[in-house]
Amino acid sequence: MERRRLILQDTLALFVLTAITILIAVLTYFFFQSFSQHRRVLERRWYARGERAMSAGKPQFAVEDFRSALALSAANPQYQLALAEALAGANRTEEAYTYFSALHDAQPGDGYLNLQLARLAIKRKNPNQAIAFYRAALTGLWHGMGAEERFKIRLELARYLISLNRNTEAQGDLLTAEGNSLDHPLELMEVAALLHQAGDDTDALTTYRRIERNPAATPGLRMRALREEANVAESVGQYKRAAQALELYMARARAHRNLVPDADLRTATDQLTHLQNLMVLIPFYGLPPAQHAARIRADAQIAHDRLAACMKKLNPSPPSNATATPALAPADAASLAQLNESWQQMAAVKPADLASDSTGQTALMNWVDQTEQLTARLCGSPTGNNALLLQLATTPDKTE
Amino acid sequence: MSTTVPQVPQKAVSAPLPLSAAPRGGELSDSEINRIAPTRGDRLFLVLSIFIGCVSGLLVVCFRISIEWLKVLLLGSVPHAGQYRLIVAPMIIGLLIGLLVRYFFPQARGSGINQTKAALYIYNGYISARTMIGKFITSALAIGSGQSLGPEDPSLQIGAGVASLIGRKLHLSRERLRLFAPVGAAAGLAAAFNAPISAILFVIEEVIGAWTAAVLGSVVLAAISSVVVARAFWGPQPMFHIPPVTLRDNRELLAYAVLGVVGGLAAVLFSRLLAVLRPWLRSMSPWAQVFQPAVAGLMVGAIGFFGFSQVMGAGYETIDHAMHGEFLWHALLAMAVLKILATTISFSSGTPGGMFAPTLFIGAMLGASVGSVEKILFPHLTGSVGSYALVGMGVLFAAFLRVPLTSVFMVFEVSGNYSIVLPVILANTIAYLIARSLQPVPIFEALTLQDGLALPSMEEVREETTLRIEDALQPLPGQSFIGTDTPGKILAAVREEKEAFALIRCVGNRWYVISAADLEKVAQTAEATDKPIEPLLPEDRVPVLYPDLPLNETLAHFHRWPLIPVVNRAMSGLLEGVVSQTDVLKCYESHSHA
Repeated sequence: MERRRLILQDTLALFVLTAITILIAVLTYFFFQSFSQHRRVLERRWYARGERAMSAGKPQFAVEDFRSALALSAANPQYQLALAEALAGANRTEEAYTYFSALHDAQPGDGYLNLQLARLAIKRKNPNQAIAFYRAALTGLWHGMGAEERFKIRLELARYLISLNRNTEAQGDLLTAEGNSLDHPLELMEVAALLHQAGDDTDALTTYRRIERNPAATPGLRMRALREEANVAESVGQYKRAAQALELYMARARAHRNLVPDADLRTATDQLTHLQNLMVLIPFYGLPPAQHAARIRADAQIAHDRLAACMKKLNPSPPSNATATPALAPADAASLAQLNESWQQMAAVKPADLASDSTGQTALMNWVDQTEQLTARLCGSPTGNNALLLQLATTPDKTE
Repeated sequence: MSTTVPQVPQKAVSAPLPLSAAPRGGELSDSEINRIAPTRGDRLFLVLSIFIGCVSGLLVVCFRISIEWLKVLLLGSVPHAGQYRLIVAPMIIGLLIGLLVRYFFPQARGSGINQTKAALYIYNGYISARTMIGKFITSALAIGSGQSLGPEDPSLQIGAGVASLIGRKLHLSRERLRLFAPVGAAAGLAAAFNAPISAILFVIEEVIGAWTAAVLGSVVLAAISSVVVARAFWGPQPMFHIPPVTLRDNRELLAYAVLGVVGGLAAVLFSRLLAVLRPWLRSMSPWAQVFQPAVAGLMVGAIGFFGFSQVMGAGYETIDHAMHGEFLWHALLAMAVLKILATTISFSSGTPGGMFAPTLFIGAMLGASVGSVEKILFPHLTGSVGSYALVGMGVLFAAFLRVPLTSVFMVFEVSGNYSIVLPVILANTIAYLIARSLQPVPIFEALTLQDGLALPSMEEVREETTLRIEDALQPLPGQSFIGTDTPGKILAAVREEKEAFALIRCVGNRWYVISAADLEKVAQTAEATDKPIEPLLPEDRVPVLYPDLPLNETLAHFHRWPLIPVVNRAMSGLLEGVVSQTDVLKCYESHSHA
């Protein structure tokens, strides 16, 4: 009896306790729901304000808005990223860097975060870190459009490397980018231009040629490729190739008159004329020996005349007394005298002998180059054929 | 001087606690219940622990939401520097709190931890419902209005209050009611922290002071129940969103050691400021004390108004931001220093609220600051700022609250990452040792001393060395005998060696100790001269005691056995030595002198 009463008493007590617990739980639930809803409204409002500020180009205001949204929903990755971007946009580099670093710690393989960190590292003047982040961005994870993003990052990295004069590294990245471009002509144009900037002219020319031959490229783009090819070829002394490209360009331009402004066409015509004049002076290796030697002799004659005129200008006395020229620096005077002496020795060489004397030919062309360069420095810019010979003299790579 | 800890409530002292008293009208008495249902108490204790956990969890959720609502209403959704409400709201609410504490809830002052300890050690587990409600209201108002205090300690007291209330309503015995205080405390803290293991450890380290099997099961049940309830609302994610933590380069341990030093010194500074300001403010007149929370609100609000609104309130969001490296090192350092000042002001003013959250805040800011500096000086090292902030929290926890074990597990629980174990242990140990050597009295003990209470020091309880029997053990005085020896032989040997006692090994390797006088009497009986002694001895035997047992185990036996043989655990019956009452007392005496 007592036992039953005790059980009843305890059961009743536990029942009442359960009822009270349920009641408190229900009240807590409604209390919690009302608060959560209010909080959600607030965080969305702050985030929307931040987005509006970003759209209006006012990231400095967006920072506070995103920070507020994040205070209400700390784990929201969208808000975290938005805040980091706003900080970067507001030029709060250090804060942005630390914030992106923290996000990066959580997702070290994220391509976008690595890219942002690379850009911030550039602002913080830390090139090695920037390059490391670029590389991580290249191998990182990109959600959709990964190939395009990586291509763009590689070009961005290459531009940065070029700005640091780390051309060899840039060339490697550009060649990889070229391989990854999937023959997309617009992208290839950019790669080719950067290859030229990085000093890899051979690959730049090849790339321009690829674009020109790419059927997917528009006529306008193909013509632009030809024009750029001509420019690059001329800059590296591949005059024949430059002329061929220009000729092709002009032929296309005539076919697509609407694509090329008249001014461009005129410029191209002038450039082609200039190249043709230049090629008349060049003793190409492929020419018959007699013709080759004749061109060298002609060039030598032009240079010799230029030297004589220059010496006369500097000192009206006979050339034999050039060494006594008081107006010249001793080094220049010595160079001038030495060149003059060389030319006098050359006068003794018979034209027939020159045709079979490759060493003499090379020596003669060297004197031509030296003469044009020295006279340009001492007597001012040349004109006519001398100007052309000077261009040849200063061409970095005389492959032709 | 008024005290934070309640004066002994008349009800608690004068009213006899139910089941130990005479039966109430129609109710069964304690002895009757024990007779008809001897295991009822234990079972009910466990079942009620679950209820205590659930109710505490729900109340703590309500408490946290109340704080958040009040914060939104009083300070705006996100307080920003330059808003006048940052000064006005804490000041006006501070005045209201001052009046509430003075006229309605005088026992709601302080953090709640010492009050819970006082309930356990002084008031037989009694925490009034009024105190609990007062703590809820005043702490929510204080923290919601931006006072630099946290909700964990009040949650702990709310949990203990729930336990006390349920225990009283179900007429539990005085002993069980007393045990319920830590059970409820663990439940409240677990729900507030969303970390059951840390809550259990904290209650054991700081409230109970020792591992007690009697209460451990209930503490665990209550803590888990409350966390389950709290997670039903907040979700399963840990309290802070911590970026992955790894230690790839062991050289980083040096930076963590530096953090330990910085944290230890900061904890000492924090403790000393509290030790100076709090007694001074409490020595003022009661009327002045009414205005102290308002002045504290004004000062803390001014810190927020002039640029550091993060210092106001519990500061969890700021901790989260710091962990994600959002602040520069100098801003982090400034926030840590200002938080120390703001918390000292708020807490010393008697505003109800806890110190857990501010401790975590200061630790996180210091940690992130050290981490940021490390990143600047050694950018190639891989540790994230978040990991330093996390370790920093543990460091301050260990050094300021003096709970080293809890501090380590707290870091694990709030991060969900165990790979940071090495830095945590290193930094916490350094900080703990520095704080201990520079500030020998822990903060909770200092506060109880300020309040004129003599609660046990948990640090001392934890570190108390237990004396064992081996510490008082003496070598065998002479030879021992076996039960088959004749009384005459034993007597002759005792006389020859002038021993006062003879030790006789009986059947089953049990020992009997007989005095020389008793031996004489046994030997004088005619039939005993050439018979074995064992059948002539009384039936009882010396209790089996081993050298590693606590020394106090011997005390109960000296009235019967003036000399107790101590035996080897591996070889039954082999004597290790003997102890007498004099040996034991001498041992205690020398220990207390040491």
